[in-house]
Amino acid sequence: MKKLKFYIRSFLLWELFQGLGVTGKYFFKRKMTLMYPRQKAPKSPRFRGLHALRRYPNGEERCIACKLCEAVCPALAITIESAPRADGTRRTTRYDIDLFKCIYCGFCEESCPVDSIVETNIAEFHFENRGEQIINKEKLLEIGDKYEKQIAKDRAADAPYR
Amino acid sequence: MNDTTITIDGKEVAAEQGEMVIEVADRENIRIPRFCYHKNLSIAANCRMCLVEVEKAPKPLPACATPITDGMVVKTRSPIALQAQKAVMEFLLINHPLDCPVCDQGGECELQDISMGYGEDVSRYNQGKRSVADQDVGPLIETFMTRCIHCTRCVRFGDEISGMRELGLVNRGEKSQITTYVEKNIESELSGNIIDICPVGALTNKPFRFKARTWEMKQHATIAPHDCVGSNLMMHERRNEVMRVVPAENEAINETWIADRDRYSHFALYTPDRVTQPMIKVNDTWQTVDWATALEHTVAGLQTVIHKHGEKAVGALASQSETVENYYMFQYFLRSLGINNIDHRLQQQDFSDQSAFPAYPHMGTTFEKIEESDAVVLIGSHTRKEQPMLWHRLHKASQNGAKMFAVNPVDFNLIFAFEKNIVPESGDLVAGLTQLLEHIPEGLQSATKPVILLGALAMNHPQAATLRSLAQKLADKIGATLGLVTSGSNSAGAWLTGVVPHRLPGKQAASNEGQDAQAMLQDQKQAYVLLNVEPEFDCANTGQALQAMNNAEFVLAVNTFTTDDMLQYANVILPAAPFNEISGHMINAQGDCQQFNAAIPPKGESRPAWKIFRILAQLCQIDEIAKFMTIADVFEAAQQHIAEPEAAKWTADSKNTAPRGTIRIAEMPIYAIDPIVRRAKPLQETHDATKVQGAHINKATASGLQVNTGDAVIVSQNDNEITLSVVINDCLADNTVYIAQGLAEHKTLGAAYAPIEIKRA
Repeated sequence: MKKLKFYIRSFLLWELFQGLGVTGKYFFKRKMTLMYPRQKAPKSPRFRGLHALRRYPNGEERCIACKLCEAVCPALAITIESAPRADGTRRTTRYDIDLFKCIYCGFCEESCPVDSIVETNIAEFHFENRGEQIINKEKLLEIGDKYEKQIAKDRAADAPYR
Repeated sequence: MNDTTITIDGKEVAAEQGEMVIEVADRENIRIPRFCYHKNLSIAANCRMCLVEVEKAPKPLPACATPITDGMVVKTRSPIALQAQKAVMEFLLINHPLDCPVCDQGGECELQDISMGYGEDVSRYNQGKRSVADQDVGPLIETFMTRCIHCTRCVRFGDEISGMRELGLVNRGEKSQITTYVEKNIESELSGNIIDICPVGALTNKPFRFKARTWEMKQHATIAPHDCVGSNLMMHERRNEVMRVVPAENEAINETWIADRDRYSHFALYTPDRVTQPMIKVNDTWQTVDWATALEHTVAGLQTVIHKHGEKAVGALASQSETVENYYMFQYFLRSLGINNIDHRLQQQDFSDQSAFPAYPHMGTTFEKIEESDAVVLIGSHTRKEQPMLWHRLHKASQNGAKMFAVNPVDFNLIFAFEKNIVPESGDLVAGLTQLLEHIPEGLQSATKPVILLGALAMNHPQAATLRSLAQKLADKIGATLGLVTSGSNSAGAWLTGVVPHRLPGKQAASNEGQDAQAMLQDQKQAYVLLNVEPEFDCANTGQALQAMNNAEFVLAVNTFTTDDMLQYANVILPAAPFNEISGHMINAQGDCQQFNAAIPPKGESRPAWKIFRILAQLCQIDEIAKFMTIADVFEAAQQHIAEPEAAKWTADSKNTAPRGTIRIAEMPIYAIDPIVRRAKPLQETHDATKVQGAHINKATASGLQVNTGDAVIVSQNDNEITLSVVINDCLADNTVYIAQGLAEHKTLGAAYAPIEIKRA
């Protein structure tokens, strides 16, 4: 009986029509095309994009050079050098992230005890020259300063779930 | 001896009566958490972290202070023990700041580690934490006293090991603090060890502050190159840069300690005067060139001098801290060219008994045996600053009741009390030793295991041979072991590989005996070959050495660093890699031949010195050089000459006369001993480095000159005058002026124990 059913299905090309049915369904469905970059899909506050170093509201950099992000980074993308600053506090003298090595896992942000290194929701960035993919402390702080509002908003939105 | 059996965590182990539970557990690799216990310090039992359950005991007992008894049953991980340990941890964390991210101890912190195992996630205490003001204790140690958990390891270290009680615990309860009380620098030359023993981040390494985390660094075992103890080190390196040095444990040599000199000297490795490219002088200007050009220039320069003036016109000086391999190739290259004026004894002035020397000068005993001796005679030895780790053994001996005697040109503060301390006038050590020999004190007469040690100040004395033969007489009379404590880290290796003018490798007498270091400089050769020597700092008569260099036609320096003077007198400077960038062997005072490997690759174009001499030999068409392909080949050739220590018999007397009149007493101070140490910034900032400056005289001499502390005086030696400020120091004998060697300001002066003129400026 089973065998018979199988033969009949094969002769009638049942599976082919079934497949074409799916095609047809989508053929007549309303199209969902985002006109990127003019149109953009909404992003989760947890989106992990370009990195930034944040500051406290009084302008003091948050990073204390504990080097936990460097230690936790699975791609070894972070390089830190540190030294005492003139006022005796522990600070980085170099904070480089190699964005080619980075896998955007977000461990650095999770490990940071002072919420200094964060991954912003910026997904659109490019490099034109060799070597530009390594972003240094200055650039990271710049990004942090520029997008602080958005960064703070995203962290606040995600805070209840942390 | 293992006569008792106890049970720890269900495991039956043999133990010795009188041992503490924690010692037995450590031996059996059963970890008991602890903060205050340290195996080389006395037991305080004040942290209570090592509480364990002992059957039949009503309460948990501290494992570090509970002696074992036969049939004892100890449980280190039973509910009672764990609960006790957890409670102690909670108490410790009440006041400990949670600032691990900014703390330098983070990652290697005993408190952090143990709180991972025994700490709670959440603290039950909401009250404010205690805070304690920090103290500035000098350029080597950083304090953050709020983090202190009062284990008192540092206090006990000061009491028992460094012999200087510089830190103490004041006040009680929550107010207790570790402090120097009056704000002052910690001055012990072993002080860096309190960084290692501090279980938290209260005492940390100041020059290394905030530089790196433990997990970023790679660890390499190496040997300290500054004294003849040969302390074992661990060098921590990150991205091919030495970040710090910590001790490696070796109970037979340095136990778990190292001297500050070994710990902080690596800061010199990256100073701007480090040579990393071969340099040649053409028309009085220095050019940085490639190796091929530099080597060609070197060979041409050397051969020109040899053609013009013969082999006798070349002198070769090596430092006292090279590896066996470097020494071997150094003398091999020179002897192949027919140059026999080879020496490493830069500071010595008396060579009259050099052929009576054993295969190499050694201590005649071991560091561990020194602890057991019951009487020690120090002759011309400032051990505490010369070999701090050897001094530590002597200090231990004196704590064990050994009687100490000394004949020294200066009444050095060696912490322990002397039964008899002879400080002869005019630095006449021979007179002092004769005095001791004529009236041997009772304590020395009755000693069963006496040790006599001759230090650098005796070895560099113009009558060193007489001192040795007198010491021999004394040793024969009281049945003592007689030993020499040499300067530099591998003087033994230099003797064994023939870096002395009268001997080939392995005690064979040289058929063509060359001139010793002093004669070489006195005669003013046409050419000099230097191996990590800075003659204006390292030689006995620095003024004369500088003059000899300036007058020479050709000077080849195979050096790690340059000096301003070297840029004047040298013609070629080839970059030799320092001790941390080469592999090799060094032989210490007790005869251990220790091997070590390079921690990092040589910086820039620098190369190990033995490779430089190999290629030079090759360029000089020395055929046999082909057999030295690798460092193993060089060591194999040198190894057959490395002999067991043999007893010496000194009978010869010195030809030099005793110093008379006003005499300059000079030593290489602890932080000026070699080119590396002289450039280590943290060490140069210590009191030990600054207090040796100036002209030290005693009160009587000062009143004779009508000067006071801080006044300027003009001192002259070698027809050179310099102005120094007076330091009144009553440790000095009459008719002596202490002016240290190895300091830039004093370089034009002459030799130690030589007459000096001093007058009011």
